[in-house]
Amino acid sequence: MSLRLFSHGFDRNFFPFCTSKSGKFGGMALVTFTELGFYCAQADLYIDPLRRVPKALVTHAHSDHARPGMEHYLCHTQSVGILKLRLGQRISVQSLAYGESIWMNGVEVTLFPAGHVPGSAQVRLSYRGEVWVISGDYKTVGDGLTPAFESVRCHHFVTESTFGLPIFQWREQQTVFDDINAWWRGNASFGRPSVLLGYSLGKAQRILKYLDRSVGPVICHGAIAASNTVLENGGFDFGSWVDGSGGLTDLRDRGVGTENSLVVCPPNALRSAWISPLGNYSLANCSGWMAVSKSGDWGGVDRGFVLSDHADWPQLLEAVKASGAEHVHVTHGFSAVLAQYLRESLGLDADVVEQDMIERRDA
Amino acid sequence: MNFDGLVVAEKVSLPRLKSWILAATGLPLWLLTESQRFAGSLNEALALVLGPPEGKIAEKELAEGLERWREWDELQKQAWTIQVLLLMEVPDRRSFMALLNGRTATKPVGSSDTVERISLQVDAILLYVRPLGRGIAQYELTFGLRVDDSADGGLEEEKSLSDSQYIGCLKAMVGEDGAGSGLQGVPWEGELTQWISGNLGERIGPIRGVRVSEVFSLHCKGVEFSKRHKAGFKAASVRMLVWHSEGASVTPLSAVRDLLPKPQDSGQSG
Repeated sequence: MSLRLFSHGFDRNFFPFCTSKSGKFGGMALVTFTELGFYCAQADLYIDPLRRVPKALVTHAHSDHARPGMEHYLCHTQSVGILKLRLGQRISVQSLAYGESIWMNGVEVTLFPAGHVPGSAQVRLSYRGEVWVISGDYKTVGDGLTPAFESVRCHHFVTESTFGLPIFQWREQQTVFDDINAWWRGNASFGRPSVLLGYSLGKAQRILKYLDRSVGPVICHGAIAASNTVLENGGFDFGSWVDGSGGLTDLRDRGVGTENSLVVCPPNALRSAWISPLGNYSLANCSGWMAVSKSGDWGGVDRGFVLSDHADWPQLLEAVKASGAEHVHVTHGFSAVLAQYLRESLGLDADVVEQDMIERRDA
Repeated sequence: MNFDGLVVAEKVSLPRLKSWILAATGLPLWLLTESQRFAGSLNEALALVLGPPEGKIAEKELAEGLERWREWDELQKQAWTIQVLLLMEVPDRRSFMALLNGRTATKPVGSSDTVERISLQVDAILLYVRPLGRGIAQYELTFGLRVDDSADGGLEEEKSLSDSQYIGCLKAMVGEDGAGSGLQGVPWEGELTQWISGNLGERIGPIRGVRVSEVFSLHCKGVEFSKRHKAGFKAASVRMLVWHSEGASVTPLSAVRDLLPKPQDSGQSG
């Protein structure tokens, strides 16, 4: 593994994420759970902090992990563009590639693919033989868009549990996209536009990648178009799409027919006037929560497709087992349930880490 | 799947099904209870913990199995039931478990393969309001669509009763999460509240009539066919988009009915 001292034109004397390999360890845990988030005191580094800190390592660019106001950010290379788009071009950010290491007061910090959304990473912290992995959000099954989840052996594994109940078990991705394309084709045959809800980073791009373009044009809401552009500049390819940031009326004026189109937009676009020119359309939501029928009616959508960027129950258990960790710390979701199952059924030392990270709507 | 005509020789209670599925999945009881709590029903939790379908099962195969039911011992019944459940989609599992449980095997309400819903934009007229709260002007709003010549006999009754050419069929969204005023989220909230206060009409129980003149563009989500509603359809949520000036045209009821997907033979009535 290489040592990376600086990037993005920062002065190595200025930037904080570059220190010597030496350091002292006072006998306390390498990572502690503070009010501000996960904290590695030895490296003086917070992971996905909740409020302003000097050095923040963000696992991915979703808003419940990458918050504004940090003095310096460290993230994966593919997250830099999105981070600047969301938090401002003037943020101080340094990046790492997967498998690349940086040393901070003797702590080796390495990022590994988490498979959640483009640029998502697990954080491996190693110091004097003790290894912690903080997974952030993840899914272990590859989606063909983001680099596949890589299992990392460790002593302490911090796992999410957004879908930490056995009722959440995903179908194969291709089956879901077959259903989505069939639904779109059905609507198009009646001359009815289709509107698909998906979050603007990750979910939307995953949807775009597998749509059948022979049915009609794919139109993206401005928030999604902005993310698409940044990610495409970073080498991602989602197929053809039309930028709807100028408004849907404008698209019609430009000769883009909406009757057989599929419009991908974030849920909050439904509360804006942007969607109004579409008139009568069929509305569907892509989310893991759609697995439960009571959720299928949330927001009054016409159709729910079960598609999530988070690990389902079998994937969570698989990730925990593959980590080989003796201590598992569960956060972000059904943490008490998963921790109890890991203790009682797998005999692991599992506990709950409560954090103010309940924004599970990006699921 | 169509379960019509299938006869169950012996009723299988939900607790018995639960013990079979717990044995098959190896899940502890407390975990199923947690799952049930979130899913909202034991039937759904049991259907979901079996995971995605592992294949497909023919209706003929199902009928044959149920015919042989009495020949089997408890273990064979359990093994066959789990085997066929694993081959079904989740909504079918729920229906099949209901059938085994001695209930009618109708598709669960909300199942996307039986109820097709659409989203619509209509121009509707404000007919009634229901004041909410005390000392504060908040209203739930009821809008009507125009009853045109193509309306059927069922609507004639409504027409004669109210002596109106409109039928009230759309209630304004009472806040995004079901709380608050129907006027929340529109820039002309104050203006409209003021207009309603000045144009209240007769009182019918908790409902107050208003001067029938104001037309609004509404966005309706989750619109589906319904036998239980006089209009012939129901909407999951309604949001106001535009407040038109007096005299704007109102969407005819038949136009909405024509757009609605034809209901499948699902055995449910509403």
